[in-house]
Amino acid sequence: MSKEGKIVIDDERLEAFEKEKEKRRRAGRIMIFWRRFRRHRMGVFGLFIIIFVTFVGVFAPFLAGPGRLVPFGPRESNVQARFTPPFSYESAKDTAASQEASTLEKTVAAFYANYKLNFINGMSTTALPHYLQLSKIDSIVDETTEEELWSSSLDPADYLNANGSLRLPTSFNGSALIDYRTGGKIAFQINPSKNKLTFVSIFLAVRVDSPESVWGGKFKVYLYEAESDLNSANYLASSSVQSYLVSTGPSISLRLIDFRFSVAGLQITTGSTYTVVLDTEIMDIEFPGINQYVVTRSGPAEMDPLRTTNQNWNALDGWNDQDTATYEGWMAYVAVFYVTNKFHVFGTDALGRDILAATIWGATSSLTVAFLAQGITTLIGIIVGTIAGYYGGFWDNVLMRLTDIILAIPFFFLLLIAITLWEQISLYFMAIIIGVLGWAGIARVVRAQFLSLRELEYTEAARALGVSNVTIMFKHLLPNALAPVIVQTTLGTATVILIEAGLSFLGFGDPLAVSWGTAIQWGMTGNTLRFAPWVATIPGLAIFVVVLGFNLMGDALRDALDPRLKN
Amino acid sequence: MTFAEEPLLELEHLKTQFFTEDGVVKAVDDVSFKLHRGEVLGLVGESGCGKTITSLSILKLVPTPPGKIVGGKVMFNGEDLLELSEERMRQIRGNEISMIFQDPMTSLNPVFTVKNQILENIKLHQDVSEDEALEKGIELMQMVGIPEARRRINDYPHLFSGGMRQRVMIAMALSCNPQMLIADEPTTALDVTIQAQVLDLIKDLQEDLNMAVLYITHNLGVIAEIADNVAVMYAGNIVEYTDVNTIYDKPDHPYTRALLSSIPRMDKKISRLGVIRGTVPNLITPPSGCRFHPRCPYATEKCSTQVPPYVEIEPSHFSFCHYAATL
Repeated sequence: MSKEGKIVIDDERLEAFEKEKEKRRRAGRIMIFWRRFRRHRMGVFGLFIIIFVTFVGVFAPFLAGPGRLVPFGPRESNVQARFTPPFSYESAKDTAASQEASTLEKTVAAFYANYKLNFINGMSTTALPHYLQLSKIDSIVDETTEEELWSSSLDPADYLNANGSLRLPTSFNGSALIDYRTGGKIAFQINPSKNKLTFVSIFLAVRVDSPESVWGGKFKVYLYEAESDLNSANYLASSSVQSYLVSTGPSISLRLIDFRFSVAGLQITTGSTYTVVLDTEIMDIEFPGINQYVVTRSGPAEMDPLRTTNQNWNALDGWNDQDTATYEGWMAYVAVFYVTNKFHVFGTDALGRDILAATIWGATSSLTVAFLAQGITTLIGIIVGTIAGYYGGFWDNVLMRLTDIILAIPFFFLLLIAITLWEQISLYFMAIIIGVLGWAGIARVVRAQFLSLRELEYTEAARALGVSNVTIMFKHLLPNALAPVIVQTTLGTATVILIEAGLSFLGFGDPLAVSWGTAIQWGMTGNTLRFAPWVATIPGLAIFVVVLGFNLMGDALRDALDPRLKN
Repeated sequence: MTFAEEPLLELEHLKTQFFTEDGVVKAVDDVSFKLHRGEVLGLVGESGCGKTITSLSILKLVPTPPGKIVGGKVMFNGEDLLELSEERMRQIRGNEISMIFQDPMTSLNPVFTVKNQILENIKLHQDVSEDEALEKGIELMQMVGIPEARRRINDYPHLFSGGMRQRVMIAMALSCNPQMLIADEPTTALDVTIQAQVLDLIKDLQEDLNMAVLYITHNLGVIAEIADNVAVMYAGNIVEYTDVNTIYDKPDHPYTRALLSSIPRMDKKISRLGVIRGTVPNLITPPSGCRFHPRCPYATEKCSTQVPPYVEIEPSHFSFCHYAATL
């Protein structure tokens, strides 16, 4: 009470005071707990983070995939969604970004639609061994006739420049046919947009002309300044990828196998011209039991200079009976274009996958695994701990020794072993495995609680009232044992998120789902981390924030649930 | 006070032992007594003499393992409780035989409201609706003297004082009108004023409901207050059994005498309180013969070799001593 004025206590105030007093007196444990919890600002902040991320995770299909609604996590149908930024192109039509995005989309569309055209153009403009040139066209007639090949609905005026060279779409910078035996170099100019740093993705599309084929290749990309000697080692950046592809086409046909490949995040100064050199070294690989892929061409087989290099050549000699030479091989059609990152808020990874979308999808994956796994962990832990702690004796021995065994094996490696036993890992499967292997800690906590609870008089009182053991265990005692379990579960959820991210990072995750770990892995390929640090940073930050949120909340819960703290 | 009818509860040679790593603890060894309807039997003895284990044995609540009832009979209403199934025992517990415990602070579950806990027992043993159970619960709380029962029934145990909690415990125990109440030192943890209130309450309720009460305590003053008959326990045996007046006026067993001489009395002037020499024996290897002989001032050779008989000195006054009625 202040010295100056008296506090007037009228009936109304008194009544309100009494009401509040009564409310506080009556407050159940949950209210008391909430009142204590609320005082921890950081804990409330953590709770806010968790609610926010859960929200993002649940609504990821709406947030991250343009126009796609997939109710349960990122499965097959969402694979495409991962590659697109989390905004619909349609809804952002008027912005400059959307125009660029739409150009990109058209570019990609044109690239797919006109591959025949580009194929021809590639041959006419690039110096390649003669036998791979027109002869190739002549022979690819099994399904696609030459006539069909040429009867493009496009008017040549639409795609040819005045000098007869191909007019490529805006961002389309080069294409080439590359011989698998020699590999080849393709150089093209890029001129990044003036006002924005450009992140370059190069897509490599491969056309394999074979019914069944296995091939692999080494792809190297160099970035040169425009005036440099393209054969020198003075490149600004380089990146290499080795890749294999198995294709089992039905027959010799003109197939475009889309293989995306990229320079890993080259960062380029605006306004200057650069040259990108794609150096390919393509291997053909022998697999016993797989027939050699065959491409027919005219001309005598004996004249094929490469014939002797293939060990299976003799076995395939019979293909000559149609008076055409056969040789094993493939043709790769390489087209390169680059993508600017204007439309991608957090940029893209090396393959042009939008990082924001991936991070949003990552929330779904991580939280699905985290909640499910921790739920299983807690459930098993509670049951095991309750039985061991309440009954004691034999069951205590059996269950606790089992717990010891599980704790004695390094958890992460046990997990890796368990996961590698199955070929295809889904998020749910991963969650179940983490949950089934992770309950030991909770079981111990619950058991310790029950060891003291079962000695308390209210346990004995309940038994003396004729309450059954199961009811005593799970109804009377469990609520008393829950406080440390809640804390442990909250902190454990953070651990599961880290474990899930770790597994995905190492490539043991769900191949069809995007997880934060996977996204970080995208950012670690090649030189990406150096040139495009955001790729790994954004999902990394997401992990950091969520784990921090869970830990802050766990600490606040620990304080709020501690019975020794008064108020 | 005499009870002509058949006893409600009859313990015959009850033996309860604990099988520990150090050996077999003979906590209750050959205990027999009778309890009639409307009778209050005080079970007295120092700590660790087997009082509580006797009561737990009646309800078959001895923690197993390590404890085990190895012999004897517990006849209740003509059936041997030791032979009954666990299922049937659960119906008896809280319904026909109730128990209240020593520490009211820990006897109530802190996470549930009092209503929750009282109603649970009612609903467990009686086929009543939620509303009926609630009314019954409030009635019980009024009966045990809790003011504003209708409001307070929704409170959590921490909002009650120790005495009030013990009243709640008694209300819970009485919720199914049991024929017998086992009170295991229900007033030990309470201060003297509250003790007297709770004792009065138990006594009143016992008379109103004509219950049999087995009142366990180490406080001879409380026994004088409440009990009709008294059984004095020492090291797992009942050493003396008689009515409450006799135990104070003409105690026979040397242990009872020593016990009484060690507490101050208002009716006699004693300059120095008596002391029982030695300590309570280890029940894994109890003394041979009479278990009290190492501490007994009258012990002879015979005492250390032969187990004494139960001697009925007067009608319903038993003493477990070789020299009963002669010392």
